[in-house]
Amino acid sequence: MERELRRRDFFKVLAAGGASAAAAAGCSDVPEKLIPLLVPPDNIDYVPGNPIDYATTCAECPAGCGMIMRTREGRAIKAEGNPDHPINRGNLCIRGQSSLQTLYNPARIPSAMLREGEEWREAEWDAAEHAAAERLRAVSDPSRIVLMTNRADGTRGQLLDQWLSALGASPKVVLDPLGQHAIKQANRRMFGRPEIPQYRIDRATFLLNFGSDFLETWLSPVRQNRQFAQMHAANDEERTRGRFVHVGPHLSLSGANADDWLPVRPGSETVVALAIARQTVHRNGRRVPPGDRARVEAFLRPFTLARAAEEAGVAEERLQALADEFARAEQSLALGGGTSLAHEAASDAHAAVSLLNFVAGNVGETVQFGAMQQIDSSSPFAEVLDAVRRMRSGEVDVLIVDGANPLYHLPPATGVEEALGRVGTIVSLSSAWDETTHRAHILLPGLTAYERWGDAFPQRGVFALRQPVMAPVFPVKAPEDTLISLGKALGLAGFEDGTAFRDYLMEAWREIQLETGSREPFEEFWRQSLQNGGVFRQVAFSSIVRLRPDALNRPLAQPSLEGNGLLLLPTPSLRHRSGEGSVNPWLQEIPDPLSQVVWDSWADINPETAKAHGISHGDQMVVRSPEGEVTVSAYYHYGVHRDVIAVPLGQGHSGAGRTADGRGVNIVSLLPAKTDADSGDFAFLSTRVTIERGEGRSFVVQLDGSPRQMGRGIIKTITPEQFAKGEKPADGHHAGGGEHPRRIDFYPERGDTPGYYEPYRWGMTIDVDRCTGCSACVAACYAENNVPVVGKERVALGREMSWLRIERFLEGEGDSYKTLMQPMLCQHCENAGCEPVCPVYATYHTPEGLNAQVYNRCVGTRYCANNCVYKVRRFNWFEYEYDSPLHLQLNPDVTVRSKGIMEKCTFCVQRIHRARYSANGQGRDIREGEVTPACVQTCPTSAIAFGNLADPNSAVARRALRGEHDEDKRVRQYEVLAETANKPGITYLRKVMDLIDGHPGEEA
Amino acid sequence: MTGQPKRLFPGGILIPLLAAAMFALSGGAALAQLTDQDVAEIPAGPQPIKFSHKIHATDIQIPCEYCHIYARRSLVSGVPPVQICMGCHQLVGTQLAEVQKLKEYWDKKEPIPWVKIHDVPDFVRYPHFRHVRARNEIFPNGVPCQTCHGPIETMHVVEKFNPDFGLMGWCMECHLTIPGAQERKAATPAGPGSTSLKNAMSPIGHHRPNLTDCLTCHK
Repeated sequence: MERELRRRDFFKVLAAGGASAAAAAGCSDVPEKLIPLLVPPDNIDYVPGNPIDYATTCAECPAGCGMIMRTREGRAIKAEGNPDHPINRGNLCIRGQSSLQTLYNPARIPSAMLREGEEWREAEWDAAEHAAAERLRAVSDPSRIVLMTNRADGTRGQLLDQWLSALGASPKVVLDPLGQHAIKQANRRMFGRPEIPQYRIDRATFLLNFGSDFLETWLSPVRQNRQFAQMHAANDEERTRGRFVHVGPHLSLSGANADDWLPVRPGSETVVALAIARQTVHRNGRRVPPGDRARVEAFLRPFTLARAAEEAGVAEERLQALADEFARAEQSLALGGGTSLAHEAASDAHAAVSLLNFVAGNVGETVQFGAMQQIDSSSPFAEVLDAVRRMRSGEVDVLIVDGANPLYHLPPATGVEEALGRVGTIVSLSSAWDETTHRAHILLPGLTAYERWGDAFPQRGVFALRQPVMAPVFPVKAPEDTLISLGKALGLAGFEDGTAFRDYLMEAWREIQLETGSREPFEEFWRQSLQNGGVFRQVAFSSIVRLRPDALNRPLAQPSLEGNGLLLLPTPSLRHRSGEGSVNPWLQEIPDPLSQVVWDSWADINPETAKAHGISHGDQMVVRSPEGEVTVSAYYHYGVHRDVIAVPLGQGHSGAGRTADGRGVNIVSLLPAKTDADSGDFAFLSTRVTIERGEGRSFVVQLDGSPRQMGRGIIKTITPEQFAKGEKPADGHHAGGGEHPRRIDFYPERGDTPGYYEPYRWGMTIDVDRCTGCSACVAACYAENNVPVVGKERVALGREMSWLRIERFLEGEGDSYKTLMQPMLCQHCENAGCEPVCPVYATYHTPEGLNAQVYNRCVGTRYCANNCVYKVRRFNWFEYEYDSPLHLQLNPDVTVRSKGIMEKCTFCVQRIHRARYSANGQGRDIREGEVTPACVQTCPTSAIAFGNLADPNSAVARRALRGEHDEDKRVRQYEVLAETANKPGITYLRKVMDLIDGHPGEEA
Repeated sequence: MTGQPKRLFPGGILIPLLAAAMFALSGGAALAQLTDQDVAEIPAGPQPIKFSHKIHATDIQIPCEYCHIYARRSLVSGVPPVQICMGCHQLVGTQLAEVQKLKEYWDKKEPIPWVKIHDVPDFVRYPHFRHVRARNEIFPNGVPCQTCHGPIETMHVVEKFNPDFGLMGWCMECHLTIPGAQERKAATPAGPGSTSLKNAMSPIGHHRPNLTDCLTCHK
């Protein structure tokens, strides 16, 4: 066949140029291989090319959210929430979305290993297991064997207990620095109920938060995000909205979502809570049971507002107003948690919050006991410290470490380093390298939670199962099975036949079946439970709770935090929790929503304090405590008390793989080994530090560009008064209002052009008032769309690849500043700036309303990115690598882009196609709700909605109000940068927010 | 083959064995006489085993989807699992050296590394099942395999029947013949002044996917 010169060949010749042209034009693809299955699996309906979903339970934190893991050709490619699960109802947080990178962590240990001097030698599994059994057998007194783990939920905890007691070893030590024993202890003292109650944030109209980071890591963040949106977000039908006030020395993400902030002196929360309680009884004593009123009043009498204001360092009028508002509220709720309450009198602080809830009549309403929440399987920190003390004094011969990382999580002041050195043999069952694993002698690496069996019982009525979602990535064993087979080798009672953990679990679930009242044959019950991710029963948590007769006998103490210097407040990290998340590249690359910092630590410091020390934003800052010093970047943050510096937990690893190592600092290293006297919880807020300007500037990378909107009205607001009246705010000149002429088009609307928007016009609405900045959508987007991670150095050059980002802007200054956050992604404009400038027609508006980017047409001129006012287009400057086995996560439905290609949000077009295939196969069009982009799917507050704008009855069309006659109804609706006439396909809904200094947000 | 496909082998290897027995009894009896000499006349190709589509699809009349079991259900047609080959070849053709090769792979529990002939670029989504199950004026009963793969049932050695296979223009030759496609092309994205959409509905009651839009095929 005679072939003329084609366009593509022409480009090849052009690109190669000169002598090499012929060779370049002649090159063809390397032949690929087609590798068939040997035997298709017959227990599942396996079809290559079609996904198979497995229900399991997330293991990134103890909340026990249900998870659906999507697999393709036997690889897990996407984690989504289980819609049937009562805790998270289909959503996941940023860490849950990143669980895939726990599974595919490049720092995982691929085989059993034995230490020879300083070297590691790969060993046969059986030989290594035999070596471990020998060491265990050689121990003279079995109580000199200690097992330390990070999680002991469900039946796994039962197995550990049985194994250790059969061996005669010490009880298990469960190390989670963010344990919640102080809450349990406080409720024991007040009500005789040592539990974490179920907080019904959704039922409150007024939320008072003492320090807890309930939108980030505290208790059950996905559920709390959802409930918070239900309680707090604008209700457009009834024009109501809840109120949320944050009390504490630091504004983390949760605090940044508050309507008001009371920056109290650290440690004074106890007195503040009691003073508010006093005022509540004074204003509205009916809610206290008559029998208790006298003693409650007597107990609270000394806690006047004046005294509390004095101790907290805030104006009495503000405290008074807050207390009155709390007392008046229809249904209030006080939360207490986070590290700012984790001091040496933590239980007392929590008891004060419990008492406040009691006098406000919240117990039984918004604070429900009897839920039997087991979202904390940790041992009290004091027990961990005791184990370390025993190791240090040479009382431990064998330490079995299973997931716990004491060398990282414990402050050096505990002597943990020396303690590990005194242990004869350390056997590690952890799945990946970390600080502690490097100190072990025998490695029997474990499977991750997504490759093994297990369960979790986060609350009464929720029995969640864990099942392997894929074959093991590495040929290693589940830690439970390793223990069972060690037990068999040692001849432990109950482990003689070496039953696999799966069978052990099934035995336990026979009991659970009885508990759930199911009468099916067990096999059927088991199969259904696996399919559904567990068994979920509706149970009411009604339980009569009374104030204990002796509850008020003891005074509630305040911590003594006296001393010179600033108080150091380590804060749990949204992305890294207390350090587990820093091995996941997505969690490093996605910026912290508040600071917008990536791949690093920083120290939040009040600008006034910093200036007094001659420290500028971004300076290196030396932080010294009696225990040591670290150098960290100073970060100006109005949301931190002037006597405090706050540093996030979770960075500063050494030996956890190249993603985590050497990033930032491990702030725990500055802490003394102190605990809450009453509960044994770790005292995070326990030391004062001195600060000093370090040498030079830090290389801290911050993605916010300008923290101020400069009147651009990117995130618009409406005052609560305007919102209540349904009054449309007037936009300022630069925000698309004022004297701008109404835009005049020379072309007809796309919608009037035949062929467009029939029958679909895909569009989105984003309710800024619902967005809490939790960034789960960002991680979901990375996972779904094969978005590469580029690393700190390239992010610093502005080459991050995120298709979806959380934009954060600040308004106002000092204590009355406000934070605004909103997701920003390709707006799929009707009249996009990017389209007309593309010389090769690689980007265009599809008839269904998507702004398409055709990768194989793109030649990388980057004109489109230059002409996009939303800055959502990303350019591949390099061919980005995936450290093995991270590449196994790639979604085969989405092209992996190569060097020189522009890319951006596609509204998850691959999901639109999947929906179209199945709908058209049934002879119909796509229905409402059949297409859910990854960001929408995971959003715990339902801030993002997606659908067909061409269908006037779709939820998104009703929310966007884009019809001809809707202009007056658009109270909160706006399009970002509408004055640039790009006609975006995404409609935003204004945040309801008070004016700052008399100006609406966008005018600041 | 019409209707909703079911899993072909619920009983593992039993049904293929039955099928093999049936072939052996009927037309397949002729096959028992195939010798290595006959096979030697078949030209050698790039494949690790001299597999002949002609013998299987024409001489013995095995339907395509008997082996390519995923074509009707998935984006990919699927290379037949080795088990499907062995379903027949445990009994049939065991005298042939090429079949012995197959058995060696099977005994070693190794998949056969077939060489890919029909390769569509990675940036293209080609859903086999949407084509095999198409219902429209031109293909009322689905697009036959031969439309893209050529007279594959006559080939001893599979090769592209058209050198343009997998090039966009070649795909579009077909996509532009679907009713409404030309009008769409004229209407979008060229802008105003185009004709209204004709034949936008498919015969089975849904709006036709836009077969000229880039994103329909490019992922």
